[in-house]
Amino acid sequence: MANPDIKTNDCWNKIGVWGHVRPRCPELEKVVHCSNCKVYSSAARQLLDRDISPEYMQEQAHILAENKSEKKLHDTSSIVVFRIGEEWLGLPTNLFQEVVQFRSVHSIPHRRGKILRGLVNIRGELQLCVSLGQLLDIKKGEVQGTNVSKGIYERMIVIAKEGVRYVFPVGEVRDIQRYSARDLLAPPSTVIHSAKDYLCGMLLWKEGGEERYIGCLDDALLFPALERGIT
Amino acid sequence: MMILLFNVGGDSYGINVRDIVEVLPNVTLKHFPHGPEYVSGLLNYRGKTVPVVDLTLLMSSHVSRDRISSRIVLVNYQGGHDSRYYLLGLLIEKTTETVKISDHDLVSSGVVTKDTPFLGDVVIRDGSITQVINTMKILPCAMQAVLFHDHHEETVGVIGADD
Repeated sequence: MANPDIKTNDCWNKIGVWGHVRPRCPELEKVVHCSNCKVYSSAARQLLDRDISPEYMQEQAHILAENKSEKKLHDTSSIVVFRIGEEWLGLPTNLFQEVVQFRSVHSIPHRRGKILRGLVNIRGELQLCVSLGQLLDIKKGEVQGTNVSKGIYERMIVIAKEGVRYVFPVGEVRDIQRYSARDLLAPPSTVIHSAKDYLCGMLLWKEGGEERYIGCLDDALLFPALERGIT
Repeated sequence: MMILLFNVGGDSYGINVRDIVEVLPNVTLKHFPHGPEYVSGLLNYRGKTVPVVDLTLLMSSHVSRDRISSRIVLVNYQGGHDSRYYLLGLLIEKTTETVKISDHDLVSSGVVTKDTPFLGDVVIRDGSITQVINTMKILPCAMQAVLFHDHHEETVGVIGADD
């Protein structure tokens, strides 16, 4: 339903970046690409001046009449996905206080357990640093896969729940994933190491053609376990 | 401040985005028999009835055309006999752009008419004048009483009877 009133001069197909007519548009010196040019964007806006079909208006009216489906938002939660060794894990986003650069851990004399690593300085405050890898019995993998330009490098995660705060190092922090409780899968029985005890489920995570499983840690189990681990 | 631009009769106007609740597509409305011409109809907005005023018709002599770029802008309107806030839909044309303007660039238009109290200050952008609309003053007093008269009992009742 083209609008006959609209006459577009598609200069971008002639003297612009998609055309071959010489000389080139002098504006290109300033805007580099036609997509940054006012002529191009105003032509795009003209496309919206076309007639609207009654069916479309009717359909939109029905959509507006319905309540926004907020239910869907309620039963979803989000986790931050990170990697320890070769295991991908997730923790509820609301526990996260910050993700910081890797920094040195100061050991505490006579108090060096497997899980308690020591103290770290987070914004001038000393926080307990623990090893989640030790607790979950995850071996630090051979391949670290560090790639600073892609944001893959060791970092430290600060989590807190009811005033209890822990810091732990991870191999990589990837992103935040939303999921619905329905998507959680039971941990496979073949997982033998103790990580299974702290999982509330597994999530299938597809990224760039790869399929991975993320172990979703249950904070109700994790925090008491860390507390036991440091005493 | 940021303003949502629209067009009436080839002239550029703006609405302060602070006054806008939501920008909706141009949808089919329930007509308003024997209502004033510039009331396009009633919108079912998530289960609530919202009157929609054709701002193009209110400001010029033709109705808003059914185009993709014509949109319904929901604003909070303080009116009625109890001065409560009501939702009001404004049907406007060529609504495709928002621009940021500086408060210092707004100047008085210098023209005040009794019939168009909603026409506010103007801003000059790229050589052309854009006039900012005061959405609170769009409806004549008599019309406020009609559109927001005991919203819950009467207006809803009439619609129920039509259905």
